[in-house]
Amino acid sequence: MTHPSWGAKLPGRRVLARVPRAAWACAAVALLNGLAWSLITPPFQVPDENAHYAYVQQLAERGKLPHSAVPEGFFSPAEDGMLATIGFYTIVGRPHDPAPFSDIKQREVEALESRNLPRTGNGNALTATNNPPLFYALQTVPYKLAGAAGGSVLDRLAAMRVLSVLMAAATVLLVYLFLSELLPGSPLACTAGALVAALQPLFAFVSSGVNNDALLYLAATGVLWGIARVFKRGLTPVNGSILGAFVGFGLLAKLTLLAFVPAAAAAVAILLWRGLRRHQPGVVRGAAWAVGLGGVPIAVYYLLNRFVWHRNTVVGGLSSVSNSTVGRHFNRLEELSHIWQLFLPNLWMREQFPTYMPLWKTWFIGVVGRFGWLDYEFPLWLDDLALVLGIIVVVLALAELVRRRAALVRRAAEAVVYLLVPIGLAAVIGVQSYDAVVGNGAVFEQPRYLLPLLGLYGAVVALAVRAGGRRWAPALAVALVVLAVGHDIYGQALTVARYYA
Amino acid sequence: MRAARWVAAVGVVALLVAFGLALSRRERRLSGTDATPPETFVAGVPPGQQACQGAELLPADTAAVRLTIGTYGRPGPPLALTATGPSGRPLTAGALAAGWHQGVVRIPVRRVSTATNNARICLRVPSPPRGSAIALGGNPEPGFAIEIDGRSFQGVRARLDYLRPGRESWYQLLPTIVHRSTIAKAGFLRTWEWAAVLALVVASAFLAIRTVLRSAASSEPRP
Repeated sequence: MTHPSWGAKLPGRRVLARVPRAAWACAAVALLNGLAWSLITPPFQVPDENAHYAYVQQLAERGKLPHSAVPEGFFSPAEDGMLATIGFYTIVGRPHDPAPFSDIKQREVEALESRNLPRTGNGNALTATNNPPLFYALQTVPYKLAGAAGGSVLDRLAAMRVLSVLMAAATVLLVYLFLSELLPGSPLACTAGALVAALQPLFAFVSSGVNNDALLYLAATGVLWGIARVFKRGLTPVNGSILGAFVGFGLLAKLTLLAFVPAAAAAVAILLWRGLRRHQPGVVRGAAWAVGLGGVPIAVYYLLNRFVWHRNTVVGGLSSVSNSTVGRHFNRLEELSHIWQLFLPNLWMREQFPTYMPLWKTWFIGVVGRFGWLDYEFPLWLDDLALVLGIIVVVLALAELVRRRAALVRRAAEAVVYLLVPIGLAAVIGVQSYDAVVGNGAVFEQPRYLLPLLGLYGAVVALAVRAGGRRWAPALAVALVVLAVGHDIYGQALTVARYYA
Repeated sequence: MRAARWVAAVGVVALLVAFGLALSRRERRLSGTDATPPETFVAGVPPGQQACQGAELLPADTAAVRLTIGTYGRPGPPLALTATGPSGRPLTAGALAAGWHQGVVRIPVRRVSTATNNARICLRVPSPPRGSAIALGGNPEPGFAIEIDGRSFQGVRARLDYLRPGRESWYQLLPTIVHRSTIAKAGFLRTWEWAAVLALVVASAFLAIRTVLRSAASSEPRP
């Protein structure tokens, strides 16, 4: 197997042909695995899938973006009818209530489908209403194709899920490419990192449904790849375009990608400064492409939102709460404390999470695997085992960083840029979490919000594999991939038990 | 590379053994449920009276009904359960002898072979001295009602779980799971979905392990 030598130009097929076979294989694993998850998970059981479906339906049927409408909670008669018939509202959040079992239910579904209920509602898409439109615009293609073949709500949803899974496969391809730029000369480590990412069950589960997180993960991993490229190959117009394009389309997928903007901006600024000092040709054009492709789409979206569609770009604004329904007041210091405690142990601050520790309960257990509408998860023994294995992997990764400290020091600026990514994501999640707590006492955060870091997750695994050196790296890589296979299949078995037993 | 192959072989065998053992665990399995969360006691049934709940989907393969029943701390009285169809035709019946403890209670019934929609499930408590008051666990549910001796209590529903006969391993339940996976799914997937899932799971696991083994082989220093 040859190591990637990703060229400086991007002439279509020739460039694709230079992607290593291992990268395609990792993407194929993600594709097969995602398709399995998409078939196992009953319709609308991926978080907010009903709302995302409604957004696509509104866009496809009316050619318009959704808007807030009263009464909330009603979609089109076709979708509402299906949700009621399949018992959606009696399944979500109730781990002891399975999917419909009986042939009688199936006959009810068929009777509903034969009624051809209207596919337009009041234009509301609940939690998805104010999302940017890119993911939904892409999903109108399978929606319409399935519709043209006479498909019902369930047929269209199944077709749309396939597109989400393709996005997951592209994400894993990008994980591999990111790792190969980050850790050149380590194809085994790249393969192990990308495979473990492909088999991460929460990633596969979320990406197997209709949810704009699938496109966010793709864009976020693309930004990481773009950052690694500009540091390794320079801020050329091509590399700047790649970085900027992923930022640009990522922001049109989900505004959570704002978390990656500081890291991308820092990378461009550092390399522009370096390039100007060294009189590198094309560096200014590279920076211009990065800024242009990264900034123009979101600027256009903002203007369209404001002046054409009359929608909010960020609902309620960021880091502010005008009306609290729980009698709390926004406090900047408390917000910082909240963000800290959301991700790290409380040191001396006023308790923000008195009944649980988010680092363990929300993030660790959640990322190990909390599925459905957050209503089922692995048994605690598996979380404990995952903690032990996770600590071993992190220690190995740190050992590798220490062993290669000379390279780490040489690449310190790049390392700092990667550190900005989780910090940025923590800030974006934390700000919204605090707004929700102060605004209405709600819990905003969900484990899937960390999955834009999938590339860095793969990087930790890849570093751990490299720590094994020539002698142990192959066995370590295989062990980690086999464990990931077991973890993923256990998640699928848990899902079968949750809904069909 | 030999070590990597050994790790793969041992790992795969360990996974197969672990899943094989987990799938052999026998438990009581649902044939259906009315999906009402048992969050509170919604109806008290005095001795000598019966509580009935309509609009139930009595599933095929039911051999017991499971309810959450409170006894106010006393030993459970004998209970008689009957299920009738929309026309009043008896579907099944069963009983529980006195002496059970309050909590989640399983009442065995004559096995039901076909599903019936809009069934009516009734639970009778005998008069004193054999009978004593019980309370049924359920939840407020608009559009439903529980009748106690002919008096209707609107907006409440008891939790009823329907259980299959005996205890079954996952292997025994597999044909049932395959059938259930065809319910309320996209029309073009229904008949072959289970086979596709099986093939996809096996293929992705195989491809993942093969890919990492190949990568491990090519990373070995060449002589």
